[in-house]
Amino acid sequence: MDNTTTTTGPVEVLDANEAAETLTDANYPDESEGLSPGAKVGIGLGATAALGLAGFGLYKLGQRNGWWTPVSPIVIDDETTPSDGGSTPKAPSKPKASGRASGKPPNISLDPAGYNTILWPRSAPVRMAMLSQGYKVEVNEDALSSKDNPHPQVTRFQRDWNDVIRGLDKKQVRLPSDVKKSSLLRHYRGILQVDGIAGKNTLNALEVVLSNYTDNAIRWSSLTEQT
Amino acid sequence: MTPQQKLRELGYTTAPAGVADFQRDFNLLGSKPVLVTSELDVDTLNAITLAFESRVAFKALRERKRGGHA
Repeated sequence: MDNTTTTTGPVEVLDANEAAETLTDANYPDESEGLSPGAKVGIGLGATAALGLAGFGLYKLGQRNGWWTPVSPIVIDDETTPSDGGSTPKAPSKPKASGRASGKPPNISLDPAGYNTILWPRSAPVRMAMLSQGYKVEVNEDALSSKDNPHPQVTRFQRDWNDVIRGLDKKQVRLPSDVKKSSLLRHYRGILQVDGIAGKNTLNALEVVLSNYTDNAIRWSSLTEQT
Repeated sequence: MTPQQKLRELGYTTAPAGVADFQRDFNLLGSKPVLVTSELDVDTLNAITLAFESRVAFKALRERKRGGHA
């Protein structure tokens, strides 16, 4: 086939070289020349919106795949169904209107990381706190758990927490009333996913237990014994 | 913050007796024990760092082990 234009009826077919040349910037007509300023602004806004949407899509994809998540020694919980052993990711649920057994344990530190990074900078303080509340873990620098390696004592704590919170709703568990910081009592709320992973929700629950222990002298075992 | 300041923050004096008290308490935690030397040796300095970093939990655990309100 030579480099000539072939005409087949009403449709003109160009060969590859000619087509490429036809679409170069030099030969491509400036479409905006014939447009009004309003139309040009519209095209610009449309292009910006498309770029923004594409960028947002890329961000959400990265968020889902953990591209933007900083490396941390503390495992972060997935947004999962707050039921025992649930593992299906889902959007964060709205807490129900009443009762303690709804939503997740509060992040009382208000740390933007979602858990108290001052209190739990590494695994050792978590281990020490677990041990102080009667959970048999060794105190060392090893990660307490990971997604592939849940810890049975963390599972036990998560179950205990859920039992206590549900027990409070059922009036089966009672908190002491004569405490130094009664405002800390309202933090006993939220349900944990029982997965054996010391993620941010579990750390927040542990902080509630620890703060009520140090400030209000509430033994965690005194609550779990009531369930 | 110096190790001495951390030790004081944890509730001990920096005198040899205070260091020994810390070493004994640290050994109650079930962590890798340190020798009770009454001195700020390398192992004790590491233990102080760990305990200070975990100070809220450390104090709670110490209370529990000492038979406090836990």
